[in-house]
Parts: sequence; structure tokens; C-alpha cells
Amino acid sequence: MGEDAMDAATGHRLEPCGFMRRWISGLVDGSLAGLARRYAEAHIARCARCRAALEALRAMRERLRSLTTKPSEEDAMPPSRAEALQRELDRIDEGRAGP
Amino acid sequence: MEITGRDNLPRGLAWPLSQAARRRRGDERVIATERRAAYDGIIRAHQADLVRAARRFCGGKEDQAQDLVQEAFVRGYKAFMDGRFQPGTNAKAWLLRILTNIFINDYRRAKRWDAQVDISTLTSDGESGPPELHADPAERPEVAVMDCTLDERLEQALSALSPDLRACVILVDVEGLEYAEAAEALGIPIGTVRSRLSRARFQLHAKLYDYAQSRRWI
Repeated sequence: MGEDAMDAATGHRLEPCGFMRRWISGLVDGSLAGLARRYAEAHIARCARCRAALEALRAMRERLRSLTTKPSEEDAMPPSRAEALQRELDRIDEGRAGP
Repeated sequence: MEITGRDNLPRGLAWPLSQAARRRRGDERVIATERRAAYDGIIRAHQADLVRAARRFCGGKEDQAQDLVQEAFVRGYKAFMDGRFQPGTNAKAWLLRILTNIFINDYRRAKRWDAQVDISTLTSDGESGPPELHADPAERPEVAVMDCTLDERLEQALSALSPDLRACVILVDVEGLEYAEAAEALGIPIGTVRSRLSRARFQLHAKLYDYAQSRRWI
């Protein structure tokens, strides 16, 4: 069973045309270019299922991007880890300095 | 005692350094100190990026994530001191590449980092037939599912992806790396990044959709 077929078997709710799956993903992040892009955009203009899949994946990607831009004090090494790291770097420095 | 050359230096006595050698050694220390300070700056600037990425790689297992970050910074420092980091290039992408390498190698070696949560097993209740294809795209349930999805649920769905797919989404969609940078970090061709991303995005959406539908949010 192919990978795309396996995805379908797991019950995804987006049902674009089979040949459009990777192209839609490429449209989502803008990596699809050239003739393939023009063809995909022309198809999406007249295919509601593919259009819906594109919109859904775009909305999801925006949320994924927003995950990393939210500053949080919790996103830091705890002090004990930071100190352990500094000690390791000190050891590396000592090893490089030689006798 | 007459000393005629370096080989004749009495045991235990250090040969006096020439003025040039002393200057050279002093310069090396100054350079090493400056490089250490520069690397400490890199740690401060990017530790949050690495901690967040490591948590996602490790499916929220904090100790493993912190181990991963510490190891990445240590390996990064050795490379940095050896001059294997090009100043002016993307330090975050470089560190993420080191972090990803450690994760992938460790995972393949020990398979220690399994996802804790598998919401792919959730089933949907009360499915209400085929989607209405002519509705405004924003109102369609498969698009609207993101409106009722909390960040926490998104993180859980992400951690339920296989490690290979998860790594692609974290690097490209969450951290914003280019395909080429992700391919280098993962040691795979760009075409494989493209196909894994496609599979990962559809799988991730399916998990979110099924969960939202099981809660009758959509």
C-alpha cells in the first residue's frame, strides 16, 4: 500500500484529488513553482475539494508558525542545566588550552 | 651545565618560550576567551529556540529534551571553536541542524523517544455526511477545525506523528527553515522533505479533525 493510500486508510477528512496532494502541500508553503504551480492553481480554481484542502492546510500552517513566535519564560534551560552546560564548556576550554 | 640545544634540556625544566611564542600563546588565549564569549551569546540568543524544538522532538519529555539541548550546545561549541561555524550565517539553523542530527541518530539507535500521546486512535462520533462543497471555505468544518483547536492540542497531535514526519514539520513549519536547510539537518534529499511534509500535514490535520469531531466541536 502506498504512503498516500495509507493516509487515506487512516481516515483523513481532507479529500483532495489524489494527484494534487503534494502540490497542495507545495502551494501551502509557496515551494511549488513553474508549470506545476500554474497547473495546480488552475485546478484549484475549479475544484472545491482541493480548494478546501488548501485553505485547511494553510490555516493549520499559520497556527504552527505562531507556536514558535510566542515568547515564554519557560522556554529556557533551567539554571541547573545552564550551569552544567557551562561546566562542560569549561572542560572543553581546559582540554584545548593544554598544560 | 652547558646546554647546546632543545634535546639537551635537563629533565623537568621547561624550555623558555621566545617572546614571539609568548605573544602567540597570549593571543590564542585572548582569541579563545573572545570566542567563548561569542558562543555564550549564541546560547543566550537561541536556547529558547532549541528548548522548544527539543520538546517537540521528544514529545514533551522534559528531561530528554533538556539532555538533547545540552548535548547540542556542547557539540556546537566544539564545532564553533574548531571554526566550523561561519560567522554571519544562520546560527539558529546551524544549531537546529546539530540538534536534529542528535535526535535522529539517537532515535534510530535506541528508539527511546516514542510519542507519549497517540490521538490518532481517537475516533469520531456523529459524522454528519459529506462536507458541503459550496460553503465559504472559512466556514467549512475542515478549515474551521483550527478555530477550535488549542495550541496544546496542536502540540499533542504533533507529538503523535512519527519522528521522521514530526522532524520535518518542526523544522519547516514551526521553526521556518528552508527545505534545503531541513534536508541538510535530516540528511535526506529535498524531494523526501517535500513528500514527508505533505504526508505529515495531511496526517496532522486528520488527527485534529477527528479529535474536534469526537468532541462535537465541528
